Amino acid sequence: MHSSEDHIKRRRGANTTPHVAREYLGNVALMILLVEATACGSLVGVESSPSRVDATAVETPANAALLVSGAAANFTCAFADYITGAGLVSGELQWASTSPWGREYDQRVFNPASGFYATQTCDTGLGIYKPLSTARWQADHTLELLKGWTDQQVQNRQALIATAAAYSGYAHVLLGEGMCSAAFDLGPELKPDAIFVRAEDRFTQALTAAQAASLPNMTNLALVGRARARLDLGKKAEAAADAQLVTDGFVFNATYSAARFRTNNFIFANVNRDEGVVVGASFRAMAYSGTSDPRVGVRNVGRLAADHVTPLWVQTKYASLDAAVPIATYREALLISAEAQLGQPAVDAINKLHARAGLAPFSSTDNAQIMQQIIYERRAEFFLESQALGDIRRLSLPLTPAAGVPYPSGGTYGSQSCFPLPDNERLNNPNIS
Amino acid sequence: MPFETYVRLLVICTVTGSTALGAQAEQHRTLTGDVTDERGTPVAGAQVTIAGTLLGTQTDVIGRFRITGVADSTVTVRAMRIGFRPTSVTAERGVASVTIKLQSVPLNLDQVVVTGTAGGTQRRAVGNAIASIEASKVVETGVVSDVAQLLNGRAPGVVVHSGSGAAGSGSSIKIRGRGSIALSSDPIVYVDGIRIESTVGVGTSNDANRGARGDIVGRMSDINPDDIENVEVIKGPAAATLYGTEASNGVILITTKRGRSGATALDVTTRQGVAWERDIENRWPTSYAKDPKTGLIVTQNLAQTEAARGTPLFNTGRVQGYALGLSGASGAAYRYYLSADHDRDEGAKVGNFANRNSARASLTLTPQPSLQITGNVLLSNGGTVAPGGNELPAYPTSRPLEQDSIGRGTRERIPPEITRATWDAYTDYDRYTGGLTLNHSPTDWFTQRITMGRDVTHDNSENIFYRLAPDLARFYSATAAGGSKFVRARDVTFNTFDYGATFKHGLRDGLASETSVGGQFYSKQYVIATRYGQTFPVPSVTAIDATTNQSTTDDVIENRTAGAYVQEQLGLRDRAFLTAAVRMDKNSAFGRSFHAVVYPKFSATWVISEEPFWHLGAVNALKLRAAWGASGRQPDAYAALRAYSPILSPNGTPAVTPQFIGNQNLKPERGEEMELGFDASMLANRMNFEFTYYDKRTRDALIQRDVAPSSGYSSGSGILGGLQWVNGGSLQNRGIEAMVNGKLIERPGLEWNSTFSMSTNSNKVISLPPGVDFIAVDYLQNRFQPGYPAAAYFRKHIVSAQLDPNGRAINVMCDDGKGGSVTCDKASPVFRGRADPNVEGAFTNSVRVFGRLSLQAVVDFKQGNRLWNVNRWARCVFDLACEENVSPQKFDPRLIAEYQLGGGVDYIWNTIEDASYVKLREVSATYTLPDRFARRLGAHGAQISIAGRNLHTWTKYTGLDPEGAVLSHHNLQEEDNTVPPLTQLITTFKLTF
Repeated sequence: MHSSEDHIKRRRGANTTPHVAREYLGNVALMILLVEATACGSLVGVESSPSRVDATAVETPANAALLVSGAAANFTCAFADYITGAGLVSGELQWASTSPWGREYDQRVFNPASGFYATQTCDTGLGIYKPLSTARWQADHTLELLKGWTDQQVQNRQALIATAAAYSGYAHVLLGEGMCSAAFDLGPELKPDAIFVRAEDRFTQALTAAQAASLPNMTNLALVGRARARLDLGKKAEAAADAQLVTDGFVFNATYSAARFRTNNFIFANVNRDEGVVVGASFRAMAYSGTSDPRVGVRNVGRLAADHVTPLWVQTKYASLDAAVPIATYREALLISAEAQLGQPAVDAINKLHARAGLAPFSSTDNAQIMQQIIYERRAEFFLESQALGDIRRLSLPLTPAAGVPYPSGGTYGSQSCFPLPDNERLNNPNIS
Repeated sequence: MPFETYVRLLVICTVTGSTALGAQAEQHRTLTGDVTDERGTPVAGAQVTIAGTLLGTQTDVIGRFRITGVADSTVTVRAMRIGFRPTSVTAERGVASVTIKLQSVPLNLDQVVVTGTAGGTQRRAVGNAIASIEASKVVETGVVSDVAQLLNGRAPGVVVHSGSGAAGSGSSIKIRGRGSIALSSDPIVYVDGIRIESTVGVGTSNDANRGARGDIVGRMSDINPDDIENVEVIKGPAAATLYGTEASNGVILITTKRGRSGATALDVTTRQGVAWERDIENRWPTSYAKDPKTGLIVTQNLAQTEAARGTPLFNTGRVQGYALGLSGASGAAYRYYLSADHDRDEGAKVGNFANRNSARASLTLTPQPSLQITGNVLLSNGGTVAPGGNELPAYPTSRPLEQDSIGRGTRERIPPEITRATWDAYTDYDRYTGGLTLNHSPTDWFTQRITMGRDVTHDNSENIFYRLAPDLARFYSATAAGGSKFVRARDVTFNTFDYGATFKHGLRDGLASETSVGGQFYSKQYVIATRYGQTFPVPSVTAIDATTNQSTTDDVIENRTAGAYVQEQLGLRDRAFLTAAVRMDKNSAFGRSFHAVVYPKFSATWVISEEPFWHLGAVNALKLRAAWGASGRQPDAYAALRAYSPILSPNGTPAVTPQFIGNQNLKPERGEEMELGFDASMLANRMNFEFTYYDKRTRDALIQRDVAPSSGYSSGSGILGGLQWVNGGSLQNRGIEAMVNGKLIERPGLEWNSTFSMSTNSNKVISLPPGVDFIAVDYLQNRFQPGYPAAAYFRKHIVSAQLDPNGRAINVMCDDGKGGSVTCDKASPVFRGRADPNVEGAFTNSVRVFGRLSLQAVVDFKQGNRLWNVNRWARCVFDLACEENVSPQKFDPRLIAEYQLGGGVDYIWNTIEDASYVKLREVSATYTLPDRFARRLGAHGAQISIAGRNLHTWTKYTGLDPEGAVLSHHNLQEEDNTVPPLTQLITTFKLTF
């Protein structure tokens, strides 16, 4: 309880208030203003941290090479994920871990809501749609930025345009070959043919820039890429025309390193290091005319894989976590050309590859037989090089093991040969209902 | 930079203040005295002040005080103590000693409480329910060892989710229900006006998704309860408006002990006790298996079989604590409090312990009667050690058929001593909290205050699996036996600058005004680095550098808030008060297009019992109160920013990757709350009531939405990776808080006080953004779905099934959500229950005999929440080691069907169990020894207490403990391999010299 004395004191205080109070109030107001004024600047400014950099500060001409490097790094990571994931679908690989995550690929039963193909990133492994979409977006976005900048602002701008466009092209190609459908920049859902048209466009841009800058390597990359996209589109003659311009011996690799999880060669990591994935049964004994095909490097280690059930068949094509993986090769150009032309040119192309591999020559005049041989050649040449799933879809090849065959850990093999559009795209893209 | 801002503001404030420091040189005297209750018993810890000055002190254990520097003129001496009516006496010129007699009043409307303004506010003017806990009294009994235990059951509406029984485990706290969707609902914490780090779920786990059982530590536990004088809880937006944009889930205000004038006093306290898992051999589940050779059912209770062979799963841990507190004053008007403390608490797991060393210094200077400067410094370090990790010594499933094997029937085929020998989990921390408060009160009508300070925490968590020699390696896979190490280091810095000023002036007869203004700046920064490595080259090496497979992360999360407020409080004849305030905040996490947020508040109180017309004699005091206010919660740092993050390209060139899509329109979620209530005292202050109804709405709730991968930003790493923060949806929390306290017996030599408090919480999601039916969170995909409680369990529900002759479930049908049934593969999940209690409370009885012996017992309860019993689920679904698995015909076919459908987490209806409980939480006896005993020891006071904690549990929950949830999940409550809370028996002996 306050006494009446307190009230008297308060009133007395009040009588002396005005001028001093004004002085204090003034000072306080000044201080609040100071807080507010500083607040507009650095006090509560949004600042970047070592692991996150304001996009507007990054997207400047000075950082053009950095952005292209990012697109390349993201594609490289997505590429190895894709080879492993799509390899499980195509039968090049087989899941052999007690952990259930890879079964959906192996069994070909995909869950668009929670499947790893839909939800995982490069940093977590086995993702398909997210890593490829990220690489594709960064390549495309950087390409648009580069086109808006000038040669004065950006050194080697044409080379960077060629590189960004080529990586965008390859991300498109893999999305088209692997996904049942995909979306771009929150746009509508596109079927593979529409995706390959976009890929073709990117490779054309890459080619134009590479030729303008006289860059033979990038020119070859763009040609092989466009030939692949055109083959996917059924434009065989144009595909062959591109392929025939590719220099003999050309190879463009995705490079890997043991430094970080995301830079690892995932194929080696999953198969040889972790022993949770093995080479698929139909690739363990590939032979031509009784000679074991050296292009399909496999080895039976003689013990069981991580699931303690499956024999540990490892691949020997990639020998370490930092083994490079070819993205585009003269070999591919040869086989694209062969597939487009058939006949003796195809037989010649096949024999060129056989000679390199030390296999007996092939001969035939029957185009159907030649096509069957091209299919074999592609399986062997491109073992774990990202082509097998695309081939199954493009050429309507049978799935192995066939749909309906009992799956070792329950259920049966499914019939899905492409990855359905994930729910995270369907539910969060305003242009897809 | 913040520090420069401090300096600039400090200069201004000092200049501001200096104009009023013109105290005249005058004669001073020393005033001494005694403070007693109405029966003459000394009152320790009473605040004694000289009115109109900042001179003051606290009484010592025998109620004495001494204040120097008092003007040698007639002064008013005022004494205050929680539970007593503040009383003033006049000391005439030349008088050197006074006695102040306080009258006890449990409902004390003149108690000054902290509300954010300079100088605090009298309780009679505060329109909100206030929970004020007199920590020093509770701690004396030795019954609590951290702040969460101090709050548990002592503040209606404050729900403490106890951590695990691993030594050093923290607890999480929710006030008035779950108010956020994507953000945690934890309150913020201040110590002496300084914001501090209080993260829950820090620890050794490197599994971000689930199984984070190593993340047991709560940083609030670093505060030694011995150092706390008082804790106030500001419960919701209606009261927390002045605390701004992070305060909508409540504010915990901790005030530490201050020095006392008078003779130097030294308190020496020692705490000795034991901790164990009560009756664990009967709580531990029995596992079943059918012997394929004989067809007989074999059982094993691992806790019993291990105890029988002389290697019990748990042992009895020793609990010890030593504290020194030195308090005194010297010269004219400065006083100090110094303390040092060492605690070492062993858990019930072999080798598990936590230690805490802390030292504190508090210095209060009163260079002039109008100016008081208080500086506080707290240094603390400690950590936890857990051989074999912070999980149970063995998973609560065993393999009965293998009980004679090398694994002794343990689920992992690894006996506990092998786990302990091969795996160590450590956490350690170093902490500094320092603050300076200047109180300046040059006149009766003006008070200003500056508080500035910093809280710096470094903590480090390590999980080491050693590379094993062959004799141990045989228990593990080749990869595990190669060893691995995970280290997480965090450097956390909080800065606080707070200025407030209050002007009081009378407007006309009976009408008084208090105007408060203030500005605050807070910053917090988390620097977090992790390192991981796998496969050491040789057994003795544990350096990550030596491993073959390494990974690292580093991140900085920084957030800054600047805000200012103005509050006007009008008081009519000191009986009715109207308060209106507005606060504006800017925060670095807001989007660029969102400028600032404004939070208003209004409150009214009416002490109707002091009106002349009040003639209800039985009701001594009745205060009616109403309040409405808003507060907020900002998104995580950088949530608004579109950003790239650096990555390493495979050929070693620098590269960046799109990380966060950002959201330039992002704003804080907004909590708005209305509360109504009354405080009453009846029957000559023998009965007291508090009642509050609250209705809290969270609007613009922050949610995290998946980013469509085609946008390019779906692959970002870290906590925001692939997600976008957006505002959308609203939540409601409603409930009542009630407390009744009665002096059942009050006569010479015997007092019996009884308090029953409870609160309810009805919580539901009101809306979500258009087109979103529900938001699923955490591993179990608990749902925020309109019309249902927040983070509710939703599962498929089997409603009918039969068993075939082989015990296989057939004809299994599930709830279709519309009152019918459907085959389970087509069924959708239906509501299973709340994650949070809807009723909680406590019943406390204390008896005081002959003024020297105090007995106290606390029973507390929580009702209405469910806890996923993962231990049971794993045992019955994965390990097939339940009786239901071996004798299905004995059980409900629906339960058997659930276990047999198993596999994923769709069918876990029955293992999401009712976790309601009643616990005998605390029992204590405290005896103040006769003075002659104390004098024999050279002391002038001695006290001994015996306290027990977690002594009994009444519950239907079938797991080890209904409180044994994993701490680090915001939205999922699960008991998964967690050590149940310990039972403790502790003796505390305190001597005052």
